[in-house]
Amino acid sequence: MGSRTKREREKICFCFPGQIQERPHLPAHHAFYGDGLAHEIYEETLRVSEFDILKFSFQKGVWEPYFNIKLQLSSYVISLIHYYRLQREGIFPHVIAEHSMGIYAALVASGSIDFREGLLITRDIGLLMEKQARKTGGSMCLVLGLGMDQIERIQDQLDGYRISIANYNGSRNFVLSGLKEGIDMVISLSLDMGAIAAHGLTFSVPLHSDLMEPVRAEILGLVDGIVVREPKVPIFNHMTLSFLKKGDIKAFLAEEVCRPVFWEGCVRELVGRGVTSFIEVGYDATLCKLIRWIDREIKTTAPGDPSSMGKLRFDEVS
Amino acid sequence: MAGVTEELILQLKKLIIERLKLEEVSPEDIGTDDPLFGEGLGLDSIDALELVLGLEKEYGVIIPDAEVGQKVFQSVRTIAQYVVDNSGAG
Repeated sequence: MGSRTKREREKICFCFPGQIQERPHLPAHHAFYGDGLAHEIYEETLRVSEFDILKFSFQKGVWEPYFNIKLQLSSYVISLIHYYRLQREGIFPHVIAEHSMGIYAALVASGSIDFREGLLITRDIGLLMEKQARKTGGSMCLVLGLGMDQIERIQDQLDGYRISIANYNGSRNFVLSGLKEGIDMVISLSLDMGAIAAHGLTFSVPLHSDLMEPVRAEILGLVDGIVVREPKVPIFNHMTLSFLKKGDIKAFLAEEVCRPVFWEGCVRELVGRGVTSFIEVGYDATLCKLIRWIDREIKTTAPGDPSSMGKLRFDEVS
Repeated sequence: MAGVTEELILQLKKLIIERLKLEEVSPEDIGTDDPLFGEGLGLDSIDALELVLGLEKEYGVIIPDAEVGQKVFQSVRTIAQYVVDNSGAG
């Protein structure tokens, strides 16, 4: 009586990453292949979205039509396969966080929308982005190793290119959005200023910036007809540092593409609210690495990084 | 000028494991001359940033930019050589 397991004392946050940046590679021995659940999800994805995401994972080559949509659908599908597998193992979240386009899988995991709706939203917002890319000509890049003051200096130098911070990932880790020419200059200036890495991302739109304002109304129109339920697992809003309610969700989906991802603040707030462990539910361990930078003491694991999964064992304690 | 010692190599392998929280990796698993990025230990630029900070804290050596970083982070041995050349440790 009165004994609690370590698992009971844990407060677990499942975090859903955004779009992967390269074609997923699922090696021959990958756990998904022997898993009927994974096959069902890939088949359902093909039926509903008309994109063959499993085949996409095997093809070679860097680019093909609808490349970003396929990356986004791959991210969504892989996250949810991992999520259902974790559920099957009896591992459930107390709270959910999401980074960028990870919102769609996060909403499914929270019970707010169903898998099919999430899939259609992911595909249709992706198609909208492709259309917007042809109009805006924007771009995004990652800059590692420079502090906020240096990023601001770069922004000042490139006045007119509408450069803004799209992801606040950590004290020396930023993603920037802006007009394409400007982003090319951001990369060059960052390297000149001593960045450890600065490179473009696959996105052909300036996500998480006010350059996306023209699509806000279209996204609202797109999600207007979907059925949204109250989240069964609380899902954290990185912009307001509060939990999303059913009534906020449609507006959030439109808002998020026009505003930055405040990932560092989100992690710090969740740790402050008692989260003891983050499980990244996605292709690899990118968010775990960001969390490692933000808080070295917090436990992180990722089913996409099988070497970290040993940490998911929770021993009985009295 | 002091050369690279086995002791420094071991310290650096431990630093990599500790900074990157590679809890299931031991120093013996990391080949001294193996590539650290891509096909080797599979590190990425976010890991590189952690190592930059770790080297600065532990040895006081600065990796000033990406160009130097690419040369230094080829393998544990190249990191060790950079530490020796820039801090006198070893």
